[in-house]
Amino acid sequence: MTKGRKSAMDDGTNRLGWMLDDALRMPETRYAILLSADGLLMAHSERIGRDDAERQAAGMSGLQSLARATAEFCGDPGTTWRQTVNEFDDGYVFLVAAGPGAYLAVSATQHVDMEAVSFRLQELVQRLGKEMTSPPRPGAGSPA
Amino acid sequence: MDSALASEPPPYLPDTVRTSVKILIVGHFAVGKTTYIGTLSEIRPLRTEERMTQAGAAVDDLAGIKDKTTTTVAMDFGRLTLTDDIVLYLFGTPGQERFSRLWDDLARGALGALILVDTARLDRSFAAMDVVEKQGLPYAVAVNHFDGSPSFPEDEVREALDLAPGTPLVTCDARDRRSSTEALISLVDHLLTLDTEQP
Repeated sequence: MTKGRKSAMDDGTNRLGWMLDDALRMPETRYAILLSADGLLMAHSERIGRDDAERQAAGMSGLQSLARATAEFCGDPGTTWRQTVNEFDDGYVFLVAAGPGAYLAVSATQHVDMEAVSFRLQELVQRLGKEMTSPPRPGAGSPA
Repeated sequence: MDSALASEPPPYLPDTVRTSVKILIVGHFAVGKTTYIGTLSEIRPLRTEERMTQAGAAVDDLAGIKDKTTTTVAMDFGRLTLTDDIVLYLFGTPGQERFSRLWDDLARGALGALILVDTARLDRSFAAMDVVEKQGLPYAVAVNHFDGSPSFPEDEVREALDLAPGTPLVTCDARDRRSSTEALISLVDHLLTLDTEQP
């Protein structure tokens, strides 16, 4: 099936996973996943298994779809969706756009510094953007 | 060191490389989409079922399906590894037309759709078929056989749904893994055929 996709996840490399782990080095964070707009997993942090990460990826794509579908509840129907934050007894889930056709979801405990997370997410999105538009050359060594 | 790299053979993809195929599972309200994905998924499926309330009594017709107590409000998701190199990602839509704004988003990136139908309520299937056709998605139709639903000959079902001759039509039981898998295989075969016909 030539039209099917061989995504970053499909060769089992989880190529961008290290970047997500890097972002999770801040205190009180839990997991991170990167997903395509159509709900398929692109990368996951180390502590979440692939099966769980794939289910979460599908759910997160549904979340952003629902969020955008309800935009007019907040003013102009065409207003741009920026992020979705869910709060649970156990903490928070942040869902943000990560470049064209990709979303980033990060979870954290209830003790996390919200402002610091937001800042770190934006930083990560920028790094991911560069990485996704210019994948490293094969054999060029691992990232420093 | 850069010059040394140039003489190395190109990197080959490992044997484990698999093709991800996103498939939509569509169909009208209460046709069995959630059950179908739950039967097939090899991982714990994602479900967004909510208890049906009195508010929906006037629009969500439960005639003949009185045991149904919950309905999907956003989506279902499951995964099925069909062969060593094809992994199907199943995305189920909510059935009611009031959720139609979600359907287009769910269809994004899909390669094909399986339309579940119930012979007792064939006319209800047109809205789902419209969405799939509007997206230009190739599809197969699976009759989810309900106990007590009439059994029509295949050509009558084809005619009632106005199916193109090449569109696969199969019968399955959404609770049964074997027949449900066969329905998906007929869709994947159909996609592969279209793929060879239109390179």
